[in-house]
Amino acid sequence: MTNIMENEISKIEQEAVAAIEAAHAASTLNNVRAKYLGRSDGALTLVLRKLGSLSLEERKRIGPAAQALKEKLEKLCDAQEAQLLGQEGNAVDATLPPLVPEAGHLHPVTQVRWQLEDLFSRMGFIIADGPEVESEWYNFDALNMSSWHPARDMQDTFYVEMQKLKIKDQNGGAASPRLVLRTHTSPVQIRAMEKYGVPLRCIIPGVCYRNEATDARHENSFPQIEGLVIDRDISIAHLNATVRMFLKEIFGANVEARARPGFFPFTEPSVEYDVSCRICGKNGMTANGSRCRVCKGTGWLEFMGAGLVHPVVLRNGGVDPKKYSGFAFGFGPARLVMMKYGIDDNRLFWSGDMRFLEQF
Amino acid sequence: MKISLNWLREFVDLPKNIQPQELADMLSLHVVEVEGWEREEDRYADMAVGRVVEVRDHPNADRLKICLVDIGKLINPKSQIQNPKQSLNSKFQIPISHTVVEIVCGGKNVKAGMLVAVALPGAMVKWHGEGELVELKEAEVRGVKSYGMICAGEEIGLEGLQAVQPKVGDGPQILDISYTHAKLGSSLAQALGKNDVVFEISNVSLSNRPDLWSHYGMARELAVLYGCKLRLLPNPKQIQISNAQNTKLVVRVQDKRLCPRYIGTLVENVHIAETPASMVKRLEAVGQRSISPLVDISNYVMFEIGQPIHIFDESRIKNQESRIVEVVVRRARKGEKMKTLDGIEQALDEEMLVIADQKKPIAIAGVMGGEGSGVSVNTDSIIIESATFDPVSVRKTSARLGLKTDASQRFEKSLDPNLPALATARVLQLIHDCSTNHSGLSVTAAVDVHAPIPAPKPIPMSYEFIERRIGMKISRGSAKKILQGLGFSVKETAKNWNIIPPAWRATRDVSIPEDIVEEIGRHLDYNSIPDALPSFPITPPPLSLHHTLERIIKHFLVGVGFYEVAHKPFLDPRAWERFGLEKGAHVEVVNPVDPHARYLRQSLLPGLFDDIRLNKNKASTLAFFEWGRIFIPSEGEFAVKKNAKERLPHQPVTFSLALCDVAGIEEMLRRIEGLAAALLRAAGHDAKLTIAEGQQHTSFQKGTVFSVAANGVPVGGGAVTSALLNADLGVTVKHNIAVMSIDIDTLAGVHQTVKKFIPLPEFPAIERDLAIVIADNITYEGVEKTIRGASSVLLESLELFDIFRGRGVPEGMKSLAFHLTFRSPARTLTGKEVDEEMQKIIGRLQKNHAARVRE
Repeated sequence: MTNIMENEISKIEQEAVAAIEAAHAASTLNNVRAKYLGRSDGALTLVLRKLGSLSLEERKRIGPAAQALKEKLEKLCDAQEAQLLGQEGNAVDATLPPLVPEAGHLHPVTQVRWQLEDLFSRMGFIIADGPEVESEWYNFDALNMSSWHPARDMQDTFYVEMQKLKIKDQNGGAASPRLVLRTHTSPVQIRAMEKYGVPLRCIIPGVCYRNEATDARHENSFPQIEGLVIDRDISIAHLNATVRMFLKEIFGANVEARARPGFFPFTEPSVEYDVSCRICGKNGMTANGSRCRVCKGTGWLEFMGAGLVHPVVLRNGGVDPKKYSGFAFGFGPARLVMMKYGIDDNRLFWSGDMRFLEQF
Repeated sequence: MKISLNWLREFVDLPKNIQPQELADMLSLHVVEVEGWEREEDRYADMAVGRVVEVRDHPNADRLKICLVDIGKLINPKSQIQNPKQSLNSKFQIPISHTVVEIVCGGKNVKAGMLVAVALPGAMVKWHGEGELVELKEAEVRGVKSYGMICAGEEIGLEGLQAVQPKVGDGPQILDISYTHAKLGSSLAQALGKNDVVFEISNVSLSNRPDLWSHYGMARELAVLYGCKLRLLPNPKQIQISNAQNTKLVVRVQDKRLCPRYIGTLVENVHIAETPASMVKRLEAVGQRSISPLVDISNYVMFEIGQPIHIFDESRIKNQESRIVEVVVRRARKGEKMKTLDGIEQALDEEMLVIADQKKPIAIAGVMGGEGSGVSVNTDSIIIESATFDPVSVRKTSARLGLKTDASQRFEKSLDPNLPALATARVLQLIHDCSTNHSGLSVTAAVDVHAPIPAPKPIPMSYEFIERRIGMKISRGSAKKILQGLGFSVKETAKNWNIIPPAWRATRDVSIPEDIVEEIGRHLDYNSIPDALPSFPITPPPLSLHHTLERIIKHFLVGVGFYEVAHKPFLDPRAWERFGLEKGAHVEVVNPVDPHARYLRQSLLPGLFDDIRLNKNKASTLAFFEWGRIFIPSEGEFAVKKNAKERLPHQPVTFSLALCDVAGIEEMLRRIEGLAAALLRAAGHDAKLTIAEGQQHTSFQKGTVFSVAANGVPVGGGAVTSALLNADLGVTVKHNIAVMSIDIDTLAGVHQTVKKFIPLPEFPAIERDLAIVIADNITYEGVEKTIRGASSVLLESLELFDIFRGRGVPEGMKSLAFHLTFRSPARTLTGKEVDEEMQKIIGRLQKNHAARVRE
């Protein structure tokens, strides 16, 4: 009896495996599945049902083998079915476009600012911050920009007021505006000196405002990054070295920087830095012999202002200029982004247009 | 400002073959920024000397002529018309090798035999002397081909030359250059002696250097840079001062602060036929057209030494009865008006300084002269004004009148008060040199009114200071040579230097040792200083929590599909007030660009809403966030000055986001709440969200306004926007918008929730699903409470995985489906135990909410 059953099991196994492999259509496979594993009259089902009539010993011997075969055949059927499904109607078109998960986009100015923040953080600089509505003291007076300085004119600076802080002038006349939208990040130089003391090294990223007409090259709101280093005997040699190093980090090792005289009220001496034009390679001429349009034939692009901190500024920050000196530099990361990607209209930075933002 | 190379060479022996770019670099690296340079001859590219050999009538136009012009052996490759036909009627011999071209010309004075300036195709010309330069092309003029243009002076920047030529008839005139006797076909630049190189200097870079607004000042710097001698100005000639007393000059300066010095000089019997060609050439090179001999002389002196000069016609300002000229320097009176030389009537005010005669203003001090008092061709008696005006006053007046002139630009830089005397002498000398008839030429009166002229203050300093600030060793000799070359006096003692700056640098620019460092540094070349990185202790800088949070939050949001945007803070509250946003008092801009957008934002949401409006057709899901300061009209944390009690407006760093998608209000609320929770979790906080009961807001859907607390501290909130706002933004009715804001200043101050490890469970869990149908008005919160209340501690968690209304669920009902997880910390649960728990839960749901279990 048991031998018969064992023979039957092994026969079912041979037949069924061959039948499953030979089933090349879903319907055939279904028939094969019914023939051997069918609930009511599948060949193997019948064998399993007969197990009950065997002795305990026989059951122990044959039962597991029958059960194992059942599982084996089920798996083979499933595998065959999956394969048949896969083939039906050339289901895999490998040329379909990839489904990219929808990530968002960081503003390009943020990306460049982070790059710079990281760079200066690595060099041990504090990242300092300050208010955008600033007092005239911090924005102008403390920075050695006397009351007659042209930048303080209404046509250059946004003045702001709030009812509570309105102050009458000496004659009790109209309110004299004394708060401004900061015109540069430099007021934070003073605030940083007050907050952290010296020696000091910090960078100051932030948005600044100037009252000017907006076009592709001019904006009344713009990001700026400023750096400040104060210690004993800080010199132009230190400034030059720091600037050249970070310009190489930003633009790559092939970019050269040159220093030339500049003028800012809050630095003395004042220096401006140019970077070599990447379009014409500092020649001022393009390959076909015409003047390079990007640098207007000069071979250089203006990049930032800098200098040794004016002694009046140090004093206003509570630092003794007899003991300490410092350097400061400032530039526009938006301009950097424009140079990097070839963007020609800085209004795009404030536009919120997805077609612009999704490129970064 | 334009600087002419030939003019510089009058004062300094620059290397003969100096390349323009080399000189430009020299100036840029050591003195001022050069924006560009131009060879004068480039302005005349593709322009040649031609002779008109025959003039014919134009068949289709009375006012036009067809000229046959011999342009010598010139062959212009840019043209296809070559030697169209030989003139049969010309009396001029035309060698066979010459090219003759036809040009249509409207000049009234054109005639055969004349040498003319021919612009050939490719030349840059100004049509009829107006507008921008355009490239000339071959053209057909009223049916006749024209190969180029016979130029008028104003068409090629030679207005001055045209002006001195006699006019023939009424109508357009062309330039007659017969006087040059130039070879036909030779370049026009060569024929006219246009061989200068002109440098464009950035005016901004000159803002602290009054002395550099002149050729002499630039020459002084170049003399030091090239190590050559600076020539002195030609020694001003003495002019006889007449004793004739029929006319007198009185100068009254009423405001000595605004006018520290005024020299008035009366000169009689001035006869100058025309401006010398050499002077016109210099003026034209720097972009100043020749106007009249006296005006040209005053301009010449200004460009030469930097002192603006004004010349009045004595006969037009003299008191006819008393025969006295009275020049009064005073403030304008309220309501006073004056027509300036440009023909515009200017409204003056009491802040402005004017030059007046006994009755009325005749010039705006330092800005522009008056129309009624200027010189004309008939002027023979003049008052020369050479003065120093207060720089701030001139700047403000010029700005208020919108009148920026060569004079005002110089005065506002703070000119040397010694300069007017030199300038007067120079003007007198040039008048003498240019005069055609010297008989009677005399200086009748010269009045110099001035406050004491301050002597430049000495700057004592140590030599070592220069080396320390520059950061390298510098030879004393070279430093001293630089300073002396620039006009500084250097007195050495054993340890110290005592430096006296020259008067032309002492008005504003140079006063402290650091200024001296700059002079040495820039002349040595900043780039020659060896780099040296500063050294610092390795103490790490304090961490900025704001910047850490910025990274975390922005990375999180970008990861889940948000776009970062940035907006200017200016906004027009009228656009938002009706939505309950940007109501009430604001921090206001006093001088806004757009008078309506005079308010500084109190929320980032309006900007994000604008982005939705802008992008609504670009994608069906929109997700934006902004990070920036908002401005609240109450006192904030920053003081207006150290230790001051007054505070700046509160201007916290804030971040907001907006999500717009096709989804119901309920789902959008869940999504924004989920974002808030996940975002705060990323930032290290457990968020608690609370729906604000009963708050009604025009912008927001009722019942969706929630607040967010981090570690128990309120840090922000959010909501789903109202249908009213959605409609205004133009999103479809299927869309809803959810927003959220977090005050980063507050969040940065909240202690992070301390995380603690929970040991992993030892025993397996049993999961059951449960779907119930309940009335639609029963809240989830109530159901959850019931389930949790019904079960013992065995219920570990419940998760709502489906909400369904519709087919199979009766009207007014909803189906909620949960995954329930049961676990005991002490043992493996049996199915029976869990079945009992389920029965308890179902029973309580039936009792409390009349729930029906859905199979």
